[in-house]
Amino acid sequence: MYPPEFEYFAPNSIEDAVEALSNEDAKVLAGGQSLLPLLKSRFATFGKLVDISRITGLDYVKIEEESIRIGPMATIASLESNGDIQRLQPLISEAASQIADPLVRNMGTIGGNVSHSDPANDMPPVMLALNAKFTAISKSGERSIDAEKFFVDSFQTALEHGEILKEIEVPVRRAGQGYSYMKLKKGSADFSVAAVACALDVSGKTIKRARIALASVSSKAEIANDACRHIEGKEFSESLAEEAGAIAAKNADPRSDSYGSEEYKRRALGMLVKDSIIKAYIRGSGSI
Amino acid sequence: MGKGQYVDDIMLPNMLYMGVVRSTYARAKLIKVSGKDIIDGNELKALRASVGEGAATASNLDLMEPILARDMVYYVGQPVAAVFSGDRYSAEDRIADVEVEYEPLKAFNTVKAAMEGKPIHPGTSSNVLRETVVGNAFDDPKADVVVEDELTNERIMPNPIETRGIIADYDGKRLTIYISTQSVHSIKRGICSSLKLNPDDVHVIQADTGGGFGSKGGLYPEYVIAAYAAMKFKRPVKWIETRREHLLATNAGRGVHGRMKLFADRSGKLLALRGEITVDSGAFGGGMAEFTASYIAMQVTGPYMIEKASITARSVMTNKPVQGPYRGAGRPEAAFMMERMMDMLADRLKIDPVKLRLLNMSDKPFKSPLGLEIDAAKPFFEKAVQELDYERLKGDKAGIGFFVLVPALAPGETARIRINSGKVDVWLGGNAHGQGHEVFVRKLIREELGIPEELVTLNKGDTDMLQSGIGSWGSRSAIAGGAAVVSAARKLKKDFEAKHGKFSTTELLNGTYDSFVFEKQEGQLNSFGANIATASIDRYGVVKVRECIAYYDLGRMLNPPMVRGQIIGGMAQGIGQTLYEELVHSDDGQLLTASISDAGVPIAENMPEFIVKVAENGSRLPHGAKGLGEAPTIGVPLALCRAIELVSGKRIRLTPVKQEYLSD
Repeated sequence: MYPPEFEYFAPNSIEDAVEALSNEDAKVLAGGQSLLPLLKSRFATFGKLVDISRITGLDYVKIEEESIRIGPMATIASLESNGDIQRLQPLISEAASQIADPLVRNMGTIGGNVSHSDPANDMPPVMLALNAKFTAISKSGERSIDAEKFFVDSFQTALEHGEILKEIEVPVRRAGQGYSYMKLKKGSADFSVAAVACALDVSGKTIKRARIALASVSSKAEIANDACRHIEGKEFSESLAEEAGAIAAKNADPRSDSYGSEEYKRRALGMLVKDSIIKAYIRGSGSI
Repeated sequence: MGKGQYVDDIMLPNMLYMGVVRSTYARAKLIKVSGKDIIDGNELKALRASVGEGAATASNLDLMEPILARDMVYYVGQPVAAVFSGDRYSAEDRIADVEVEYEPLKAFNTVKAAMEGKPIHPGTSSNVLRETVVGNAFDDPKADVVVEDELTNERIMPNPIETRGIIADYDGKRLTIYISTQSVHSIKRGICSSLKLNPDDVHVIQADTGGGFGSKGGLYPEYVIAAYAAMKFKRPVKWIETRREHLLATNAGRGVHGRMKLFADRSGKLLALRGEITVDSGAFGGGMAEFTASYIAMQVTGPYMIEKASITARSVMTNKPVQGPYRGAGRPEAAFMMERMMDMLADRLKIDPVKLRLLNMSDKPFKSPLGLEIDAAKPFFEKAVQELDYERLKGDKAGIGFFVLVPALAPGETARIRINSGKVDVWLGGNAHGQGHEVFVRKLIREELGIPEELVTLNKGDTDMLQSGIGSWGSRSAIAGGAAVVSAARKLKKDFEAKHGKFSTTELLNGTYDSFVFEKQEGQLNSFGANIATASIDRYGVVKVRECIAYYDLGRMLNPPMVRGQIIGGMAQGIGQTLYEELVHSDDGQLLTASISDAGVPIAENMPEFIVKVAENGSRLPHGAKGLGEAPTIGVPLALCRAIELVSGKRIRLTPVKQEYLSD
């Protein structure tokens, strides 16, 4: 549980960080809650760590009329307890409160959580459900990446070598938008058996628009497209939610492991999607 | 406060850190090991001595675990070579620099596969390490009802917060060992035996020890390598186990399969019990695994009066680390087998499980055909039904479990009391690793000699300060250790009176006295315990424990807060075994649960409010105590499995109970 030797650099500006990342073997260190265990167990090695925690002003939450801008170094705990987030985009705080334990939440950051792209991480499906936009910065400037393009594969994002995630933008919860984050854990384990982030636009009894995103049941977080399409434009019912769950379960690609068999994961996912839709619908139809 | 010193806190000048290169295969020929400045099995040709809890001589010396693998490896995590460096970072780098060439062979990771497959060890005819029949011979009785089932407790790791660790230091004449342990004397015997050293040349000192749960009672290969290296390099050598190493290579507990057949008449009266107990011994003989199966068999009948019982007890070798004690060490497995069958019988006969149990208890002491000796069970358990509020909780589908705690009283324990300059120093043969032995030691010395408790210090284990000792395990410290303290105190008092006449505490404290005893104990000192639990289960199969109540006979409680703490901790572990903890291996023997996050150790968030109730029925010992430590890990799985069975409507045959099994 001791990492191999690496160079450590803690720049004071994002420009210096970007410069340091041009090193072939460099890796950004944010809250360290995924990267440090990987290094300590020697599952990964990097020649140079660029610690961006000393750069001031990267942990903001800025509220605008239609969107919320979040700095990558905002901790999971700060998002969990932020009153504006709870009010204006509660899917984020609901998911944040379910991540690991308080110690991890105090150190872990939203930028690290999404950039690590662990298929079991909780923030990637939330970002997908909310259609977040990511701003990446490199020596050649800034670019914007949509959430759906951001998560490429297990531990792989659209960020290129030398790029740092600079900002996350999510829309403010719309009137009639219901949400839910549901996660099935196995006992005391940190990771989920399956998790579902759900955002529904509800009008009267009709689900106008659905964004259902999944974690832990595929090689990356992804939108359950067929399940979303199945319920969009239809009047809500429990059986509709159940059908959507069955579709998502059928399309998912879970693997048997010590968390459960493939069959159990599919079954659990179907139930989770159903329960998430019901919860999000109730919340959406209750809001103005 | 703040003065604790664990092994890893001890820093000696010029110290080397040891890293262990471990087998990456469950079974393979070891073709070649190459690396700079390593110690491998061709250099250190020693065998792992069997010492400590459940120590047994191997039925076949060829099956003793080598300290370092030679020619073959038998489990993932088996030590193959050791590397050394001035700091632990580069020690780990050096592990990666050692090249090991293997020729993989087929591994057997389950008892079933090992019994059906070819022998894992060359030169043996079968993977069955030992097989005995316990009990009396009888023909199947004419029974109205026969219930039969297969039951399993999967392997789990003890997982104390502090992992294993050692420092070995050699001054050219004498080897000094600092270690996290339950018994310095076991470690000393083990080191001397494995390295063929003269006992006078080895000094073992206990560091503060952060939990053990059975994992720190005996000798491990790493200790012998560190001792050998310290003598070879003439520098202190430190080895601290990582959590991954703990999960991979420490002795694993449980890992027991049973097949039980219970014969009864229509009223529920038990006529006979027949069964098989099969223990997953892991890859080698010697040690606890050889003895566990028959130990479980001996106590299977629990508090019930069964006149005919016969159990085939079998240990089977697999390509996994050696089996060892984990809090309960055979006792929880025995009770699990019996109580699961009693519930099954009650369901079959459609009678209340408590009624069935009480029906089969005696008003008199009873010795079972398997060898278990118990007091009159019925009066205790009738009271337990009241104390556990069974009539009320029955409506909530409460599960109840009754058991007999068989503490490791024999062969007794040592104690030394030294009085000098008004201060009292005590050493015990069993070394505390978090239980708070100092509390009962102070109390007993105050009671016996009138000495104020603040003048009494219980010292950590030290083989130079106490000539011999057994160890702290098997629910034995308060009974065997406590009796030794009382005996040493009485001996002091007698010495004083012989010299000075009338006893006076003040004069005793003004003098210099030293008293050592080995207080021998024979026979059994068994006690009764009962647990009740209620639970709810959601559609996903997630179990929430609602109520969890214990009622145990402690003879005489020596310290209520420590008793409460110990029972609550043990109940949490009982929930861990029932719901979460398991070592999962892939078909080719790789450990899939190799991180603390996957090992299933219970967390506070998942715990209910525990209620602890105690009976104080005294014991034959001078201070009246009975055993305690293992009671909650025996009792909780019994009650909780039954509660889950009642709520889910599904028969529970296995721990941990899988979410998957319970989900809709």
